[in-house]
Amino acid sequence: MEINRRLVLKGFALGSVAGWAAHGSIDWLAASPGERSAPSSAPPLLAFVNDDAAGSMFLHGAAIASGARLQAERVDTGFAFLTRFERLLSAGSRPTRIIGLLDNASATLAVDLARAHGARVQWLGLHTSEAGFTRHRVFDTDRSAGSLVDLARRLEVDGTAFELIEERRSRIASSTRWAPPHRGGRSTADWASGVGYALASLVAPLAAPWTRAAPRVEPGPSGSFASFSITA
Amino acid sequence: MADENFDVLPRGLTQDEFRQAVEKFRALLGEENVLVDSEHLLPYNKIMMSASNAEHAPSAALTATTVEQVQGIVRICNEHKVPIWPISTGRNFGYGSAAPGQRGQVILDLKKMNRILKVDPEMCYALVEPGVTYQQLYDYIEENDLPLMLSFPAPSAIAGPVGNTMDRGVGYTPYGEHFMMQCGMEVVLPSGEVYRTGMGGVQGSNTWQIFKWGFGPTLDGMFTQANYGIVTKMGFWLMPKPPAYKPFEVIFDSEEDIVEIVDVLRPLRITGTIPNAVVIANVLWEAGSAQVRRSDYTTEPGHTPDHVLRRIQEDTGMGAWNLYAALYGTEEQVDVNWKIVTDAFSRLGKGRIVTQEEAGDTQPFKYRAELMSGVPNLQEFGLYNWRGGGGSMWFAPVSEARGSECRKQARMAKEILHKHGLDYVAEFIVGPRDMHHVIDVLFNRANPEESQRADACFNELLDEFEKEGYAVYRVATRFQERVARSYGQVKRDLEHSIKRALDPNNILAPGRSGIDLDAYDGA
Repeated sequence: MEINRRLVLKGFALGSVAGWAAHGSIDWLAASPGERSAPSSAPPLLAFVNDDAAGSMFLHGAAIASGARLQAERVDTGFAFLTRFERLLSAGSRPTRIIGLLDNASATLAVDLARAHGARVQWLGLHTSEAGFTRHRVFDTDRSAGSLVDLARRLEVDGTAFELIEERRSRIASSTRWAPPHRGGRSTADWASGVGYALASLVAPLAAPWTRAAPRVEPGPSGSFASFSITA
Repeated sequence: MADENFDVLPRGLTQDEFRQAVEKFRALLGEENVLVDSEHLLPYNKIMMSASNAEHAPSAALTATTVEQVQGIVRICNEHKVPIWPISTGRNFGYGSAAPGQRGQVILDLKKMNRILKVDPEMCYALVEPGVTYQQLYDYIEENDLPLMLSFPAPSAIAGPVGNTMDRGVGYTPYGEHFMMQCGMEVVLPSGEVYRTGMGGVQGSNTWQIFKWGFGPTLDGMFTQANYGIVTKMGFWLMPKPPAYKPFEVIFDSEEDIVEIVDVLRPLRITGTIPNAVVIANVLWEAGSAQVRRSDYTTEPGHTPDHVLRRIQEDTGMGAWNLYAALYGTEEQVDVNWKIVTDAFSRLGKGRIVTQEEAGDTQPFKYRAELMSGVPNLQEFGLYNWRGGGGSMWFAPVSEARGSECRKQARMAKEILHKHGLDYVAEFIVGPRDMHHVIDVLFNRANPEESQRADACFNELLDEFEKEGYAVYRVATRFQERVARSYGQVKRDLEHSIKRALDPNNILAPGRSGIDLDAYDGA
């Protein structure tokens, strides 16, 4: 890792995913399968989340796919985050991958800062979960398309009621839509884990297979969120 | 790169034609300043409007660092009929963000032209390039301990003075009407020539940022909200930092109070007793800015009912309307004006006055006080979490600063928004005689049905307000052609005549404010 980027990363209040347990908010993560060893050459994978249930679920899914190199950062729209993220974006030559599931305000800020620093973005998602139904609208690229299809399959296998729409810049008149018939009676808790796994899988081709190892959260995290995958 | 294929093309160009233009852009700017791959372009394509992202997909994004490069880009665009969409910082959230107005346009991102060219603490002005942000300027002023104060819009830290002024945005200080404070522009014309407004054309002049008008026709205004040139430098006046500053809030409990609020306020604004661009925010604007979420109170679909609004008021102490203003000057001046202000509201017999000492660090008072004193923050991003879902379009009709007019507009807007299952999230920004009635139409873009409703709602707002003689002062790119029609045929014909004269190849931001030689058939 380039020295200046290493210093910048140290500036983040990063914690290993398991380490989040010590801070109290994500207590089941200590038992998550996120401690697989990663090659020392693998670049770090940062996960930006808010301090909420959706963030916990997202980290769980991301940890399955990425192993020990996943580091997490709590994010808001405050100046401290703005400053740290800008420093990271402009720091060095070696790519850092950043994935996230944030509230709409924080995500708007994070993605726009990435744009302003010329970062690459593979995935922009909008997600809402309410009354046992989830909606997902993902604007993606060729590189992230496979992960999106996998996410749709996983949601379908879980039997959750959902609608997933994929948009591409190249398609002016059409989008791809998944909306299987709802089989009823199932939690929507796994969707955030599924998004975390899908995004971490983008940079982890040898990802561990998907397992629903997280304890169920009943009902699943509700509200509105935005997800992203950024290479800075 | 002979076999390079682009997934999005500018209107009317073939792969081969665009490939030739891209090669010339690369030769001019270097490979790293010509972005054509989808991963680099995806974040430029993030919109908050009721449209598909693909409708606003750029074919490429260019970054320039010098005026000469901007001239070179314009020359290539003319040669190949490539339409370009210039942005400065691209933070015009709610009005189109960084995305081009039309699919296939090439973004010209001026973010790397970010030099603060001059700040004169005696004459109180700045001259900057388009990529300069307010935070950058604020830091410069602080680091150099200059006795100056900035004025900026709410996403203050990351937005910039050139972009905001060119879109005729406003701030919250006595210098809040930003275009009024602009003084001297440098503009690259579609021909590639460089034009300086005001005194800027006079060899050796030192009054470019001092005297706005110069000699003969004054043309600065025609470059705002327009597509007649690319602004590469802009001067603007800065307010001297006052020795005393007193922000305050007046809280009103009833929606109907808007009539009396405005009628009490107007003389205080016209006389300059209250010198700044006052804000009157409704309860939902307040709640969103204070990080309250709709889901904290209800998960029912549709608009938020009035009884819930009253509960939010009871829980938070917020008013149905919340007026924020400030006094500036010496202690003596502030004391005198404070007495005039408090007497005026006392005579009204309603409204609770809150001072900074009483409010402490509570939100939203804190961020409002910061905005009115030129301290940047990002607090108002919280509005995006009120309803969530990533949809935000600002409907901003102009109103007389007359209470009955404001009530009429507020009622109309609320009724139309509620009909479409959306919330009335609004603030009035108060000039001496006018009000910018800014309504954030917030909706869930993840839900196609709600997006369609938001689109229908916005169109109905435009239609119904127009029937009453109202029009917006600024609008998202999706609705600019529609709004241009409200302002009449003669204006549109004239604008297109100017466009034909300055930009016959229609390369510069076609569609901006409805000006597009290829689409317009009215002349």
